[in-house]
Amino acid sequence: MKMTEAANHHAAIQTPEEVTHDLLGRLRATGGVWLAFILLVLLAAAGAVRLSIMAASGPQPLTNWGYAAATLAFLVSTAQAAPILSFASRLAKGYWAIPIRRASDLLGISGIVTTPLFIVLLLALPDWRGRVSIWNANETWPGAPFVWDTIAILLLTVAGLAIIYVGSLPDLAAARDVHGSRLAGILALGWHGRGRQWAVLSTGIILLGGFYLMWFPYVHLFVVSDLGMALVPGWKSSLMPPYHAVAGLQAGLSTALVISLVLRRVAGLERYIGIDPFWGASKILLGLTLLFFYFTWAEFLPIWYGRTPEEIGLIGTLMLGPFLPLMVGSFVLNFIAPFVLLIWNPIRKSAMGPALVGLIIVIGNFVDRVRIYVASWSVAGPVGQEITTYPPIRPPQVGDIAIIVGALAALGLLYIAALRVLPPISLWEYKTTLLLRAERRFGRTEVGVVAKPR
Amino acid sequence: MQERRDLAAPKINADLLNFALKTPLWFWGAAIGLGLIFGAGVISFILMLWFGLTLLGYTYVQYWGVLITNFVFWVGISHAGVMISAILRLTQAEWRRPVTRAAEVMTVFALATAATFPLIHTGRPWRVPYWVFPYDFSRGIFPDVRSALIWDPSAIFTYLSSSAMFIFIALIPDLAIAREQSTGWRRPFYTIVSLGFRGTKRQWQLQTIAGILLSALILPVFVSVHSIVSWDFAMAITPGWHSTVFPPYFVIGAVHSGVSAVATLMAILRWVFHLEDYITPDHFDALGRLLIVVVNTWAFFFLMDMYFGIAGREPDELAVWELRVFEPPFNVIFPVFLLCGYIIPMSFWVFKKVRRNIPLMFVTSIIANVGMWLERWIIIVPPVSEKRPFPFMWIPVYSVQPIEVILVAASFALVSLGILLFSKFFPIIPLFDIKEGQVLKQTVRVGRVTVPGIIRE
Repeated sequence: MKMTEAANHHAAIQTPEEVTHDLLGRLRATGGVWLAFILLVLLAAAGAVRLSIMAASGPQPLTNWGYAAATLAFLVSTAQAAPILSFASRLAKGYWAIPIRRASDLLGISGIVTTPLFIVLLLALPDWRGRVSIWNANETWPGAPFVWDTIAILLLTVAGLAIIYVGSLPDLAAARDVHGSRLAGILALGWHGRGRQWAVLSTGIILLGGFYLMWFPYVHLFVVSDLGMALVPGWKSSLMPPYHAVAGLQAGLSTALVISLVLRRVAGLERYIGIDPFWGASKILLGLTLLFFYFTWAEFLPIWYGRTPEEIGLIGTLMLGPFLPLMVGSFVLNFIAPFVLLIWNPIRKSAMGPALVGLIIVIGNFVDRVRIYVASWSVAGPVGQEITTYPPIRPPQVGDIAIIVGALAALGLLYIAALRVLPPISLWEYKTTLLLRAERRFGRTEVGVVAKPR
Repeated sequence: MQERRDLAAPKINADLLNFALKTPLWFWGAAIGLGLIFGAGVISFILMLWFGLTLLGYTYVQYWGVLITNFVFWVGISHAGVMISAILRLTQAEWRRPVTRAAEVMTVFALATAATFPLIHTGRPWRVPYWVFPYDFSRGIFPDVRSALIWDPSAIFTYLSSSAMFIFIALIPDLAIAREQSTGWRRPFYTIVSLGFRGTKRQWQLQTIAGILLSALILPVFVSVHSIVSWDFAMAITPGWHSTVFPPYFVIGAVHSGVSAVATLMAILRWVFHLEDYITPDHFDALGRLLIVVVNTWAFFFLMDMYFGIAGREPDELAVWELRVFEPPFNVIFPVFLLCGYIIPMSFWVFKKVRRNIPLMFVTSIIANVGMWLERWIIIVPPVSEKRPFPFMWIPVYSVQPIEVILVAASFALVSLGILLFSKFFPIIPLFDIKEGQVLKQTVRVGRVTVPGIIRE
């Protein structure tokens, strides 16, 4: 082991008091934030107006909704997947991820954007009677899919917000005590760091994270089956929901890495967000990249070999027909490029490398979602139809771009607003690592020691 | 790990090499007993060769039964070795240390046993090379590369050879210690197999690099093996089998049964070899936590397979699921499979007290594997039992014959005998890994508490 080298990667040892004052002090900094705020408000408003016009204008060509559906799936796959990174690292006691846990958790705020978007899309869906879907054409599940899908996305959103809130209680209390912030005082709910409170916090955050992780694939099941598969005649793939979720985990981790790099550079957090989080996350990202390939291959092969008339139509519509460039683009951006880059340790062992790969994957995920949803909404039509001609790729119109940019702007707006209330690094978790890490003499070298309390 | 025992190197050597260097009486009893069951299997196999496949429960339509179920089951068990060793080694999970070798050894014997079942199933095993290997270049006749008969042997033998290499690389330092500790015929044996390992810096570097490289390279093989087994079914357009989720569903099911089998094996090793200092309740707790994640992921894939099978409303597919769930004898097997495969183990494993209770972990892990064997039965048999459109194709329900039960029992005996014989000659817990764990362990003082810690890169 190159222990001395490894030890150098840990952030310089600071005192807990220094950390508290430094990170809480950043909540008051303003800089160019207001300008960004106004710009994001305008963009988000433009997207919301366009979506409202589409929703209010009654039945339209269904193909118009393709990009909105792709945007929803993209946000559910990227931002809404990110809190899983924090949960997994908390469960496995992976201290390397502590500096980027808050950045990941905060992305759970994206539920505020995805929930209304999903509801609007559910209202735009064509008639369900007679259609092959997971709801068995409304007979088994009353109110399906609207009621159940709404409940599903609401549960995920509430869990995501609860993770942010519960995980921030000690930091809000610190803000109350250090700055005398009245809002933080109210939000801290009388937190004073008693043994009982810590026990409730640590159990609660694991339970919430566990629920989030378990519920996440089911939300992907609802999104991809109701907004994708059910619209395409003959598309009944049991692997599609897990594929969608795994690609989501890959993109979620990527999003967290990109945001962490931005925070590191823009907010000047280099002393907190060292190389370790990127190095640790990049190994998981490599694993998820291989899984993406595996799921893509496993999805394709049985359909290719099956060759039933429905499967031939499916391959032509989604994979090898007019959407082939998007299929190839998705494969290159989600698998080939990340794999070729991440196998190199020097790239993994840097902040820029994993974040750059993350950016490639996030773009790749959007391309993949456009492939799935724009194709699906392009062939959505009456029940019982067969695919006779493969629909061409429909380029995004101005309205589509307004919705895509508006949704991203709304997420950015919420994220920046949250960073005005909460420090970008989880104070209490970061201070924990200061206590649980030590440097020791081992033979003729210095090594890092990590304590693992029960 | 929390339950730390301070173990000196001589004690580790003595404890872990004890069985390899001395032979207790019970060994002979166990070896003969297992040998007899295996012998019964061999006799059954010979009888089957003599009288043909009519001794099995096959009919002219129902051609896949107990033997293929057992094949899939043992391939599944074999996934434990890599899951435990390679993944936990790469992620530097400390609790892996006493568990890895037993899991790897189980992989090799389970896989070798699995590979015999398709051979037996063919009824004429001497013809297998004729189907599998390129044999007649002059007339341009080649085996069909799209056939499972090519995929399965390729995947299984790649996995088998790489797993054997994986065990051997990790075994070399321990063989060198055995060489130093042994006398008589054992000494030249260990001298040869330890390949001149003296523990020089260069040798340790090479051994470590080889271990890490093999860990990384074996992972794709590990995933591919059960995926390919699953494609034996999923590539066919047989209703109930033609499902895209099969590869990951099979792989995660294999990990479920494999890790459960490791828990069973660890309990047995602890009791039989008195390894209380090495295999502690903490290890079972860690295995239990891993199993909770695995079993829930498996349940998700199972639900996807079942729900999309039903949701399509295709009459043939619905007929298979009706057969699996509602019609005898599957209507009895199906709830037992669900109870054993998911409900019982999961309801126990969520409790920390159960995960740290070794007898309970032993029992629940066996129950999980009963469930997983039945799961393979439910997947494989009903689709070929479904009544076909023409009355002349209607067939009696597949009934398991005694010879099939003997062959299954013999497969369990063969794997157990293999592990027993391995541990007679080689340490079943890696000495050098345990010693490394002892060296790396540290403590960190936090306030008034001393917290166990570990040296980390």
